[in-house]
Amino acid sequence: MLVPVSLMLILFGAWGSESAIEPNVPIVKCSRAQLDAGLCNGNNEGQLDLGDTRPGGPGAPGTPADHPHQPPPLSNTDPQNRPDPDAPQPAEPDDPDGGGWQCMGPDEVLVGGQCVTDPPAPEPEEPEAPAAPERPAIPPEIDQRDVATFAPEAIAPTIEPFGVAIMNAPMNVAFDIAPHTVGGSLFDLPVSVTFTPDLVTIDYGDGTQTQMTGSAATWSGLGQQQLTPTATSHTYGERGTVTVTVDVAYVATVDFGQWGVYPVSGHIVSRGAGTEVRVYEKQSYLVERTCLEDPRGPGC
Amino acid sequence: MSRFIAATGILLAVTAALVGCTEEEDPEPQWTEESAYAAAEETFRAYWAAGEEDPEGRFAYLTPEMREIERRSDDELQGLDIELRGTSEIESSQFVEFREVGETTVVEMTACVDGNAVEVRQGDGSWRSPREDPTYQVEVQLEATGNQMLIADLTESEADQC
Repeated sequence: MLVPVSLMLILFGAWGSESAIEPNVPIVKCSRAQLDAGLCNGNNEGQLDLGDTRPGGPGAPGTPADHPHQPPPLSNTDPQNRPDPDAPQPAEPDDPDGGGWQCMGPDEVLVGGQCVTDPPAPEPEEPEAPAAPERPAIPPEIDQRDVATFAPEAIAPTIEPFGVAIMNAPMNVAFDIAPHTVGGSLFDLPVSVTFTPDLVTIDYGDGTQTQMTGSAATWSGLGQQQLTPTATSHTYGERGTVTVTVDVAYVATVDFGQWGVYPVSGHIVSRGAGTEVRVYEKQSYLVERTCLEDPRGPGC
Repeated sequence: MSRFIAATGILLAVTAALVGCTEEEDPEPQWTEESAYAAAEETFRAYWAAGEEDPEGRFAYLTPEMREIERRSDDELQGLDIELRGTSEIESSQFVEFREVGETTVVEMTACVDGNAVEVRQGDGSWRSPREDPTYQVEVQLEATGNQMLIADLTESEADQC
């Protein structure tokens, strides 16, 4: 009786198994973690294909008949595991999405019954060539009249000192200008018009004008003492009331979007509203008390 | 004298032949079916209870081949960034076969595992059960060569009886 047992052991050794005993039905060895994760797929390869698709239910090795939703087998190079061609073939899955199947790999997706990490890009659909829109009628030259409604608001200058002028002393005119864009509609097309300051004209109201570019700062902004000359200051020789006006001439462009950007011919002038300035004459008196202390005093 | 020698030789030959034919007494078996089943269940439950926190504790209940499978499994799961949480429990166990092959005692058994508490992390960070039916059956084969019963095979059952 011992002889047959020895023969069995010899035969099992010839199969190359590390286990002393082979079970009647070959089984796949799995770890507990693989069982917990549902990755013990029992495909008799002696190792697991992590990432195989498999149903969420139990019965890992499952024959196709047991799992009608089982996707087609993954690439199997083991000739022992190739399906019997005479055996009845499993029905094709009803659900193209694989039914309850899922891929266990975090970056995998189910494509054609297989889990892949880099799915092929879907066939790009031939985009229908959009009908070329008819080009709107934009005049070859746009002048300031076309964009007059977009003109920037008038500049209200700051007059120093304190909104008045002193005869024979510099009066400073300060203002701030910068490019700006206004949206709207032109020739029945949505546009955005950009105005860029080009030339500033200051009319001091006594027949004197000056032109410059850019903004003009206050005395404090310039870091100068009051009643000192600046680039935009003016000195009146007579008492009275004058109107100081600051006009700004802009160059403009019109952006029609897909139809392009068009320059506007000429300047778009923003006329200043005019600021009334009273010119005072300064007289000096030696008095005993101030006007507050003695309103009836000389010069008060 | 020659007759005596001849008779003695025949007697020795017959004696030797009789001695050669005498059947050796079988050694006292180390495992009975009951003790093997008890040891198998104790080993399997201890392995399952060792969980994933204590690899060395798990390895103590495995044959060298199964230890290698455990290590490879850990590496593969880690490489795939598969993360599990929760613990599965053995609901019941049933013995299938006891046999002795040479000096090796073999026990085959099945067990029902409750994996309701086990969840796997998905790509979007959410957690869900890795199985639609979290209760499943495993097949276990244990072997003892000597007085230690070790897990030699572990797999999920094809036919779920749980």
